[in-house]
Amino acid sequence: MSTSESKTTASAQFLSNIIGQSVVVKLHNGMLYQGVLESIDGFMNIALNQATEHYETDANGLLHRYDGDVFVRGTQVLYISEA
Amino acid sequence: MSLAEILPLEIIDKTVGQPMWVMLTSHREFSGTLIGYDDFVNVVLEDVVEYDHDQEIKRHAGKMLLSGNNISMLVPGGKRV
Amino acid sequence: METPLDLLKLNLDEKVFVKLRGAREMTGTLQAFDSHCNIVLSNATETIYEFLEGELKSNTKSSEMVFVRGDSVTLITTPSEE
Repeated sequence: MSTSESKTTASAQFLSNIIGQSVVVKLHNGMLYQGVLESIDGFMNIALNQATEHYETDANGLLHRYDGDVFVRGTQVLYISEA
Repeated sequence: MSLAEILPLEIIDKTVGQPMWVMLTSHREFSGTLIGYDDFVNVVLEDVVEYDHDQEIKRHAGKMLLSGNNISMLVPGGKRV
Repeated sequence: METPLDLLKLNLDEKVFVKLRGAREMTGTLQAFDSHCNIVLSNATETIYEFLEGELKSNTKSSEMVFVRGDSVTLITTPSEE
């Protein structure tokens, strides 16, 4: 540990940095959602805008395009990554 | 200090900035540069390669927050290929 | 900042589309939800997909009012116009 490490963890810092950016979110079941990150909380609950749905990777084709905001439940989230 | 006094997470802390291989409880693995982690061992990685059953399935150029929920092992040095 | 659950409040009394674990989907009017994603839907239709003899089949079930345990919820959004 560095001396007097700041209270913001790497994860919290990452999350505050990517609000409003284009992200991909993968769930435990392999579904992949790509969209603009509207909001995220400490449980990894996620709100996405202009989301598209794919299986495993967008190279596998588009399954669905969501017009409204998409809420993804945090317990199902495997990762969130910069798109 | 005796060997037993080294905490597991101290090893992870020394690996920040270096390649890390993350294995989940499934057949999924991630290899990338360790940016940081938190108390739940949620992990932030950069330039990640994602594998399933040893097959590369996706590359992630930016940073990734990987949920600690299903992590089984963290291996400093990155994935051996 | 508004949390994702805050944003879900905007969907109260509106039609929602809910994806569940195990190839199930529901549509209905969102009456209530909590932080575990337990939800109550009215005028709900559940669609259950399965592969039978290499073909994708779907069955639907309807109910006037249904409680869905948060465990099985993966995603909530507004239904797309079809």
